[in-house]
Amino acid sequence: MEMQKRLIETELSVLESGVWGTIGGYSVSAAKALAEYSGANYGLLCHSYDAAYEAVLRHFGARFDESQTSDATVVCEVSAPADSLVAVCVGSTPVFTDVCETCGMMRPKNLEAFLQSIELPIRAVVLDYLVGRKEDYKLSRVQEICREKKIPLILNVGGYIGARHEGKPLTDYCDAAIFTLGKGSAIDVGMSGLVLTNDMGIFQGAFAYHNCGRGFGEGASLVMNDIVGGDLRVTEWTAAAAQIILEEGALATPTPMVQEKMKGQPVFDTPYVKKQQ
Amino acid sequence: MLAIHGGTPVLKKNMPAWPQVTDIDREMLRDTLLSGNYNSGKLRKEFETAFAKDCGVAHCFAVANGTVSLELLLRGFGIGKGDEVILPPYTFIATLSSIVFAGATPVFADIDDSNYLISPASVEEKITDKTRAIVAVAVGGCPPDLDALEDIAKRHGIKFIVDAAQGVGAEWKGKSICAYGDAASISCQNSKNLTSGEGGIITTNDDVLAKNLEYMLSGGKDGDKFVSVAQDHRITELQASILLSQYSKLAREVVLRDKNAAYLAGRIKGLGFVEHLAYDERITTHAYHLFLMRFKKEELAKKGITRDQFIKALVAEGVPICSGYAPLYTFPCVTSRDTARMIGTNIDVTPLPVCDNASFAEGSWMGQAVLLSDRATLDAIVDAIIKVWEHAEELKNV
Repeated sequence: MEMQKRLIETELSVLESGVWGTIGGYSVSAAKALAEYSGANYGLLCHSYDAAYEAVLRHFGARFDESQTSDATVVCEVSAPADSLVAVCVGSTPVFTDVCETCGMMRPKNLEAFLQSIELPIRAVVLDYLVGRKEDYKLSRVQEICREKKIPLILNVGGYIGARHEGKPLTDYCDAAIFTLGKGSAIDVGMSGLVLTNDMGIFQGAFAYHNCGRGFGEGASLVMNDIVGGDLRVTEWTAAAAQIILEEGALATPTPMVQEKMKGQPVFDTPYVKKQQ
Repeated sequence: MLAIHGGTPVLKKNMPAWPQVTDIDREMLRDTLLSGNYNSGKLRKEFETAFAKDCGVAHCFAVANGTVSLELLLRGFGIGKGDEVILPPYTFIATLSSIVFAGATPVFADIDDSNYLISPASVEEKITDKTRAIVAVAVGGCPPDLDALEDIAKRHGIKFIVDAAQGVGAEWKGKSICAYGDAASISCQNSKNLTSGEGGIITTNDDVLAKNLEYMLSGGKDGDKFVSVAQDHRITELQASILLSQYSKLAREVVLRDKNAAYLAGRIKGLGFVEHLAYDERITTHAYHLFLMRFKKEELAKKGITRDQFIKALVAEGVPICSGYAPLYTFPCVTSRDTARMIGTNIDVTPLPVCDNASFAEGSWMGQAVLLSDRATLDAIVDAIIKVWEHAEELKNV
């Protein structure tokens, strides 16, 4: 009840402020709080998971030469539909790699050979990071392979905000981690998406793609930068709600299905899971 | 003495705040938060039904914002790489970015000097065998020549999209502009006349398009099958609740802005060096998101000054005025490597004379909140314009 009271007071203050969108205070502070909670340097809130993922994918596409009008995004064959559908929307071809039968995630040992077999330049590797799976999953090996090949690695972490791998923040293992703040997520604000990264360049690039080409700190001035950006912005309503829920420690409990999957398994250390134990 | 030289500004008080908050907004927001239901879509559907009915359209979709709305429309029409889409250069970047994000090539048509809106004659010149759509922007809430543009689209078998980002409430020949063309797109961003902070609305009578939009907004699914690309651009219930409450006062504000705009236009009419832009008699309601004016460069030149100098002086007097859009073809992002890569070609950035004149020499505007102010404020704005004109020669070194 206290949280709800605080939520209502905060949202009413947003209403009275007149700043309801276009990079208000909460869109910045909530993203920062979520980044700190997750052990990342930078956070960017967008209006949905798809939007967050799109901002990052578009940024990764910008490194290609203008003659490279086709590229591939490597996704797991068992993954969220958005992983491949958003890739198509940004003009990239999804290429599917198989998954490990025990943990359901991308197979590191086959990844290197798989990447070499793809003829198109690769925009990114997107790994569905399934919290609560096998303890000995070699996420660091996936990261090594991607680094050697200079391919950005994106982790789709779903709703597991705050998840860790071997006790370390997920952003230590990837270029960007994407989260959803919708139904069934640790933080449910109806719909939103979060990008976390330790890389300032990725943060600024994704920010510009999400805000009409304007970088962080450029305000609402007319656009004179050299990328065409869209509008993937979160509203102050949603950002404020996310911040309140986080600050009140009111993260959602894992669903029964997730709890069942985690039962008896060595689990990755996440504050989300710890709440249940 | 002019305020820019240390004198006292003519305008002493702030313009009305925007957005304007009422008890309906407070109640609606509180109820939505108490319900804890942010996912149902119930309020979104309620808004969509009401808006569609009022605009006289079969289908309405409330989405995340007025940029993704345009992109969704283009994708819904199957427009993408290799296709050309005609747009005016005198508009916000979002019109262009949505075309680029859909993978299509933007092609600029010049604007009409009388109203700064897309010129049907210029559109016709720009059509090629790759042209798939025209996106006509109701800049400032003023409808372009919808009859001529619909005719062009029909004759060439291409889509006509009304970018009514700034045009909610506008009517052409007694009908909402959202009911014209193959589809319309509206923005509900923070500054817009109907706002939820961020938000967008799509309207159409095209059943096939509507179906495609439903698929895209439902994760690409038709039941259990994936039938299309998808991007989750639905509006949230919190946004929808604010849209509903703000919508309840829109009609009243449209009338007030129109009345005040007519007053302002009347007061500057005889001044000779400045004029309100032409108003087609087929426009039955102008949404007045912006009050556009032209500072006649020949008249200013007689005093040895430019529009930019004049505007600087007006701003110092407390008038919330600016020089308007720069042409999109002058933006570095339009000719960047990244944009060329996204669409597979280069965008033609040949300058267009009427747009150049509007952007660099004569155009200006004030925002919609000015038109919600009282008569005394409007009079003070005109007084400031006259004051600056009377001291115009003092601006030569500004």
